[in-house]
Amino acid sequence: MSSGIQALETTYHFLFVGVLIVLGIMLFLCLIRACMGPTVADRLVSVNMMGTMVMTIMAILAVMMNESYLVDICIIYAMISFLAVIVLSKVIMGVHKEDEKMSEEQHTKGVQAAQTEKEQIIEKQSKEIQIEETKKIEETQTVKIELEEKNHAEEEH
Amino acid sequence: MGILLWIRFILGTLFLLAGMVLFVVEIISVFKLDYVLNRMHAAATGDTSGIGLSLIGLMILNGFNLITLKLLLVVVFLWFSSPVSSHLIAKLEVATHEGEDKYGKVEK
Repeated sequence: MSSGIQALETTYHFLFVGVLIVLGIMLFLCLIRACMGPTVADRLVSVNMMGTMVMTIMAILAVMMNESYLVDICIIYAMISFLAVIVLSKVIMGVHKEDEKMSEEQHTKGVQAAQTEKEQIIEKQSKEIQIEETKKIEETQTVKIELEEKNHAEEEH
Repeated sequence: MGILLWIRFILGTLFLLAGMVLFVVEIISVFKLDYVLNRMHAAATGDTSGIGLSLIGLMILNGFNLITLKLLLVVVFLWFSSPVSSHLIAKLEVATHEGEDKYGKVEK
């Protein structure tokens, strides 16, 4: 009977050690995924996964070593990782919204500046056209006056 | 008595190994899928059900104890918190629109 219980204890030990090794390898793979991830949400997902695996490791250690305070640490770890995900996602959303506002303001300012430049150019062009028209009118008037003077001179002759 | 202990061991080991299999599937899918929302779906499913199954297995292995009650508290807390954090990450992805060009537009 006692040999059976000893065999059970050794199998418990090997089961826990094997599961801990597998979890350690998967934790490392999660870290690689967090380094690879192209977007911010990807990194947050893999960090969340890492937190879950660390919690499982803590629970297994608590059962394996028969220490109840490790489960308290596990609860606090769960709360802190949940809080970290919430705070990080809110902060990144706020930064993104501020960036969008800044870019929109710059865009509207640029559009307004371009519109004023266009208006100024149109005003300049219209002024030039008016000056040219007045010059043409003056020229035609002077030509008419000269013609009239010539006619007068011919009539006097 | 010894047979009962072995039955408890086998039941708990089944639950624990089911949780491990879910974690392995989660890791494989996170490396294999190619868009953030798909990866997030796989990761949220694996997180919630994987840690639930493995902690239930640990509870069965441990027997009725103070550690078991605390593990139950952890399971209940994670079943509330893990979907909420995944939902927030999905909202972050939808709000920032970082994968818009390659994978089509995400409807708000």
